[in-house]
Order: sequence, then C-alpha cells, then structure tokens
Amino acid sequence: MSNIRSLLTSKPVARSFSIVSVSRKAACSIVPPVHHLLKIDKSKLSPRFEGMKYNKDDIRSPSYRPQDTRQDRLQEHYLNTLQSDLLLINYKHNATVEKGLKNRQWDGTSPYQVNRPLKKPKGSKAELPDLHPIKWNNIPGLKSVTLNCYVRDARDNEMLTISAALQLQQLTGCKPKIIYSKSDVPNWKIRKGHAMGAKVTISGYEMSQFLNTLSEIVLPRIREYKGISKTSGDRFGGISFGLNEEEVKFFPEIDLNQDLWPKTFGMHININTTAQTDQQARTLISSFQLPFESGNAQQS
Amino acid sequence: MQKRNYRGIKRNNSPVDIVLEYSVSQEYLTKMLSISVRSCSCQKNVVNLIKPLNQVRYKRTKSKNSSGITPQTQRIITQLSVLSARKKQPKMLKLSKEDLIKHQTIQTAWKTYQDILKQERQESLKLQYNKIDEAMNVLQEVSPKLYKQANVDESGKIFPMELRVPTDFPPRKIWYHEYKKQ
Repeated sequence: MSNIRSLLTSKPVARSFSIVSVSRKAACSIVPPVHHLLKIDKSKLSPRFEGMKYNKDDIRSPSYRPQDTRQDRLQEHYLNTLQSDLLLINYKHNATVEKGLKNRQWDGTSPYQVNRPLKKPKGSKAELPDLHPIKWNNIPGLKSVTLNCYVRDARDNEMLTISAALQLQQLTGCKPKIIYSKSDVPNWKIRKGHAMGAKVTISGYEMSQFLNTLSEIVLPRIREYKGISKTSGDRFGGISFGLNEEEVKFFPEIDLNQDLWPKTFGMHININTTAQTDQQARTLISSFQLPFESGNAQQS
Repeated sequence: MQKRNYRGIKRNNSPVDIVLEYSVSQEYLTKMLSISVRSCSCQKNVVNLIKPLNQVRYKRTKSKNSSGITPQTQRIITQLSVLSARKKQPKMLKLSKEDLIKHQTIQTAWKTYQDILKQERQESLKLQYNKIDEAMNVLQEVSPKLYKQANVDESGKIFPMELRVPTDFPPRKIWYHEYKKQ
C-alpha cells in the first residue's frame, strides 16, 4: 500500500517528454538520462540509398563532381606571380593589429544598465572588424564573383526574369537564382514578392573564366571605358561595378548569336575578395587587368 | 427528376429517353414512338433525337487551351527548358572494385601533391616575409632616411595594365620593345 502511495505521490520526475514545443525541439533528448547524443539519420541505415552514405567528394556519391579537370590560368598566375607581389606591396614594418570600432561598455552609474545591450560604437552603427597586418598567411585573394541582374521592366512582365536568368547562365555556365523584391515601393510600382531579376554566385574555375573573358574580350571592346570607379567598394574588400545592356552584348556567348538575343540585360558585378580593406582589394583586382579610373593610374 | 441519358447529358426523364436507353429493334422503336409522340408536346425535338448519330466522340487529344500558346509563351518555355538541369546531369559512373581503388588512389595522391605544393608556397612566402622584415630592421639601424622611404604606405597601389595573365599560346610578337606608356 505504502509502495503504491509512494508511486502516486512521488516527487515529480525530472524527465518530461512533451513540454518542448516543436519549433524549439532539440534533435536529441537533452533531459537526463541522455541516451543518444547523435541524431540518427535513418536514410543512411537503409540499404536502399547506397549513395547517401558517401561524402560529396567520393565518386560513389550521386552528387560527386570531378575537381581540377582543367588548368586554371588565372589562379596559377595569382599563385606564381601575384601573391609575392601583393605581400610586398602590402608590407608595413612593425605593423600591429588595428582594432576596429567595438561596442562600448556602460559606465555602471545606473542600476538599469545591468543586462542592457552594449552601447553602439562611436561613429558607426555596427562593430567593425580588426585590421590585421598582411603576412604570408593572409594575402588578399579572390573569393567569389556575384552577378546581379535586376530587371526594372520585370514589374510589368515577370517573364523577363527568365530571360535574365538565361543570360546569366550563358555567361557563367552556372545555374542562377531568381531574385524577388523584398518590400513594397509604391513610387516605383513594385510589390513585395514579385520576381525582379536573377543572380548567380560563381567561384573557382568558373570565376576565373568569367574574369578572363571580362578583362580580355569585353572591357577592351567598350568604347571610352573609364574603368572601375575609384569610390567603388563596401569598405571590407568587396569591389563592384556594372555593365549596361549594350556592353553585355560584347560577351562572345551573346555576340556570336545575336539573333537569339533580341533583349539583353545590364548587370552588377560584385567581386568578393579576402582583402580587409577596399584599397587592398583594388590592388588585387587591378592585377587581373581590370582597369580602374585614371585618377588612380598615376600611383602605379 | 434528373437522369443521365446514353450520351451522358443530364436531362429530364421522358418516354423517348427510356426508349433510347434500351437499345431495341427498329419496329419496337416506331411502335413505342407512336405512344410517346402522343405524350410529347414537341414532336420536332423527338424526331431530332431519333436521327442516326453521325458524330462519334473519341478521346481528347488536344488540351482545351492548346491553341492559346503564343510564340512568346513558346519562347519562354524553350528558355525554361534550357535552364532546367534535367538533361545536364551527367550519368553516374559505376566503377568496379578495382577501378574504384584505382580512382581513390589517384585522388589521394593528387590531393597530397596539392597539399605539398601549397605548403611549399606558404613556406617560400613566409621566408620572403621574414627576409623583408630582417632587411627593414637592418635598414632602420643603418639609415633612418632610407628606412622612411622604404616604409612608405603603398596601399591602394594599382598594377600596370601591361601585366598580363600568361597564356599557353602567346602572340607571335611577345614583347613590344619600343612601347611607350601614353
């Protein structure tokens, strides 16, 4: 009897199963006793999906893609010639880490300051990263190139985004994504969630190929091209510039069958680098024969 | 009362319908017709219904809106089919055990080789950096004036446009000796 009573009125057990809401559910039990620390992927236990077991770089995996199938001219040029030059150009004797602007502590005069989020840095809305001196292990290099094709006319005709995406695919050989407007802008007659263009991010061989075509074929054919603007840059090593719809026609993929391209689309080209400042990025990008505005040329 | 006739059309139940539903002999039909016509208000309609059926309906081969595709729409469909990845997926290779081991050996060897190259590059860069540092330290002691000139900030320096990415097939005239910068 006492045994039963003890069972009924026993102190509540720490373990409970259905309290955690679905959205905040842990992948494994976090209440002791914990049995499984790793989530079991049952698709991998089944003998039906043999390919799922392997990593992407294993040839037995369905998502395997062969790497290094051809010579990357731009990458080799960077490794053989540019890296040591960039190290020398960016060298500064006895350089130390330059601290970026950081959030500031409260002075502690008021009890309300406890648990308050830190003060914003002076002169900036957000924290800025530290600037490390360039050494052998952090020489600026290319990371990726993003082509962004915003079509204004797509607000009336959404099908234009498909043509824009196709254009990007022809130029890069990679599959682009359709981009959608983020908010309503009544002045521009834009509604939220409307397809407005396409974009694609390329890296590796495709990026080198694209930059080569750009610097060797497209940009030299543009009449009175001034070069990339001096002021271009996002402060942290990203440089961007644009090509209008006429200039895009100089790409050989479009130039060779112009009949198929009654309408071309201008695009923004964002070059993302591992440089820490815009100046470092400019030095890097200029080494790939991309011209900058003449104001900078006298420095060379 | 609603009823479906033999053509699948909903209509009011009438004596004529009943006749048509049971496929009977011609004699019986005419006999029955004489009865039904008496009961039917509109004789003309009945005669129409009894006419032999010339039209035969086959299975639909065209979609209802097939004529609605304009050349522009067709163009977009073509563009979408070019964009789709369905036909671009390469066929998965099925390797025998021996081939797989061969492939993996080559892959590992290539990766190792690439790692060695990377390490060598890093070491040479590190050496370069250390040498620059050493030289600057010496220069600082020997000649502060030269040191100041050597330590000028060069950030934002632009490479000359004449620096070209090497090619496997360079032009016949490789170097323009008389070139002057404009």
